[in-house]
Amino acid sequence: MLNVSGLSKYYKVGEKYIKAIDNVSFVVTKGEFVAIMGPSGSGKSTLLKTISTIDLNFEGNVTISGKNFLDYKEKEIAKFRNKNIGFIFQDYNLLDTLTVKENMVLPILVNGDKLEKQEGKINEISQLLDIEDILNNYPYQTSGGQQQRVACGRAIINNPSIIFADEPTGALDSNMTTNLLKLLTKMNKELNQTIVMVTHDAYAASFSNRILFMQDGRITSELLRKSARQKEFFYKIVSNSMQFCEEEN
Amino acid sequence: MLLKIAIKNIKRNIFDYIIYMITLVISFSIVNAVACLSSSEDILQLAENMGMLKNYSTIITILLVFVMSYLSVYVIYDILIKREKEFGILELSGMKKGMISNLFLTELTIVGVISLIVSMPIAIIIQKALIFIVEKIFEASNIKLNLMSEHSLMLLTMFFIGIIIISSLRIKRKLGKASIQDLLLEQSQNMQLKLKKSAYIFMLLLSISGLIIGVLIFIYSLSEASNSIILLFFAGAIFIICGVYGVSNCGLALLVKHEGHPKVNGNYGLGLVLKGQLNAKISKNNKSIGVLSILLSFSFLFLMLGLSIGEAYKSNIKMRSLSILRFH
Repeated sequence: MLNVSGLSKYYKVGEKYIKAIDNVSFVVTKGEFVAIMGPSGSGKSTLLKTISTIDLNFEGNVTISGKNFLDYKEKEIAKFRNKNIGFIFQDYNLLDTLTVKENMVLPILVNGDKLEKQEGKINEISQLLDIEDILNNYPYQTSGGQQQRVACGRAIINNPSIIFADEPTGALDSNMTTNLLKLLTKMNKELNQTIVMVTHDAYAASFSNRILFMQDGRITSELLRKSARQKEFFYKIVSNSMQFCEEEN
Repeated sequence: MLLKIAIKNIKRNIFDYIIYMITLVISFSIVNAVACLSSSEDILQLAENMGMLKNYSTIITILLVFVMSYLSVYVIYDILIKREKEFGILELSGMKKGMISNLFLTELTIVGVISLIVSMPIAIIIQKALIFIVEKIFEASNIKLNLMSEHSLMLLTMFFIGIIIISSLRIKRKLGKASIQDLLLEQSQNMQLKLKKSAYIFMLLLSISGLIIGVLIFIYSLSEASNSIILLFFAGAIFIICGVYGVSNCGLALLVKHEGHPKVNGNYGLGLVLKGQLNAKISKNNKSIGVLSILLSFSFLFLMLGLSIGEAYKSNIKMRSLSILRFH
């Protein structure tokens, strides 16, 4: 599904070049829910931007569904993004001018498809996300949790190959956070949706199946959930993080 | 779909579009009024060499079109910057950059057409004022002008197409250069100040002086009853607007430059919020005031030029008739 090999990314600060990502390689298979964890400045958000076509200025190879998007022209990348990738951000990134429904179906509209043909799918997803009652509201008339669910709907409406979530629970309270993470798990299990989520929160990461730990632009370790329950997995994550802190000290 | 989103966007961003609309309405009205005036048969028949006036006014109109185009494109670019995040979201959803620029251009065209319609009654008022001036200069009466001549229609079309083409190039350049990341994060960047603190203090003092001069001229113009009252009135208004622009702009810059956080009611947090709010409000209003002051300055310059040419023309005719009388 997602194949990253030898990915490096530099930032120019003054005269110096700073390595934000240092030769990172990993594979995400179809239907996996992977979390990328690490402290602030570890390069996790930069990594997400490079593997999700947001930042095309990097070294290395990234393929999604076997296609290397760096080979495409700008117009082809837009189409590729529309068909293959869904995004969820911390600050929802919904358009104030459009209603909840219009925001959700934006990728369909952009693609030029007719909404009438997709009504069944829209109803199905809005039921799954529990937003069927607010479809005609505008984003400013809804709560943060609802807005994030709308963003989830927009992310999955086109049946993308993969969803990239950048700190999706960052702006939500604890109840909304749990609801959203349960929703992501539901999307992963029921729709077999591949999800790559960046987070610094151990609780959020405990909902995933696999965790990649990042430090100073490198993947330092990996943690698999296997058959562990969410609570057990959470303790494992915390213990792993503690171990890392001790090594650092 | 594009049209539907465009109309919704106009409704939602109406406050940002108002200054663009005002610029267009004033530009259209002035260009239309002057073009109709210079192509009017009644005016051409006022004197033998009125063709020269026509040439002058054509040059002035072209100059006017250039300045107004620049101003309109500046206003459009400002709207573009404000909406970068929105365009970034559209790009994330898979919209091509070309389609995003088309969406924005559709909005600009719709607002442009509305402005053209709105500018018609204003153009009539400006025409009446110009006829009044011409009638006074030439001691003529019953001069009639068409609401829109072929000449003015051509100029207006060229003017509007010019704005759309230049804007389209700028939008494409801006969107073409920016990555999604740039578009999504652009709005969160802080205001950057290029000059030193002392330069802002100097400009603030200059603006305050301008404001005082403006108020004095304004008061003087109200107490005087002569033909030059319009010019004085205009000059006073421009000084006041430029003064307000300068004071608010430099005041904001000094506020931002001020080291440390302003303490309001012993609470630094509130001070920071207040500073941020002031910063946002003033920088938003400043651009509108700036555009308005340029528009007024140009109208003033145009009016002054028109009156000067008229006066010079009138004295030229008087001199000629005197020399003819002497010759006889």
